Amino acid sequence: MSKYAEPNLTGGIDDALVSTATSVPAFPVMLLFFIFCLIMIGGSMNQKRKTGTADVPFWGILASIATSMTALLMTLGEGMINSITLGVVFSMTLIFSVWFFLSKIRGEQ
Amino acid sequence: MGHLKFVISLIMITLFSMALIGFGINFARDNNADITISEDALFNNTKDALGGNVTVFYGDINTSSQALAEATISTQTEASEGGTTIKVGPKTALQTTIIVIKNSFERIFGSDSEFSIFFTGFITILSFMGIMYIAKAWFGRTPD
Repeated sequence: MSKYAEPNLTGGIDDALVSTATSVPAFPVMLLFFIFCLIMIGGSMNQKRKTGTADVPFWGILASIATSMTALLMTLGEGMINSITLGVVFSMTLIFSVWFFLSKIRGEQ
Repeated sequence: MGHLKFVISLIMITLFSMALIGFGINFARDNNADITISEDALFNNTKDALGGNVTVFYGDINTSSQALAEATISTQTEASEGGTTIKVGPKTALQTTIIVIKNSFERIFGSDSEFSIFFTGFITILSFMGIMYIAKAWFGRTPD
């Protein structure tokens, strides 16, 4: 016996995503977190490997902007994301922007 | 580090915040999104407050730069006696950054007093930096 309702793919991928998000409420949050970590960790580690230093504030704001854009796309249909998650994503972007712009006081690296 | 860079960084934080929130609101309006950032009163208040503070900053800098342009320096007077332009920049710009940080922290951590200490500590550090930059620039050294 399945523990959750299986998504119905006949209605399209958007219906499948919404039904998955309804069955597993943490799914949109995990997806956004995955996108954020992928860009931030992957980018900073790649830069460190190539240049020796990692500009973490830069990759943080880049990842948070990408996460914000993905969250905005999720708002087009009802059921994928709620306003609280969207607010937290935007707040994270603003905090990373504070870190990024204040880190540039030391000059370009 | 420098006085100019510090003020410019604070203003860039404000402009980026206004641009991001404005983009989110307009994206939702253009695409008839079901969930919109404008439903969140906190972000609406943040956008309005930032716009108001930027207007105040513009007015303050305009006034002080006008006074500086009309000022004269006699042979026996030391330069930058008032230092209004030097002082008003970080003070006003810091207000806008405080709004951004405060509302972002409140959205993530809530209004509990346990987490407000991080906000208090961070704002104290920024204020200290602003005061030191003002003192450094006003006492005759070249702001960079």
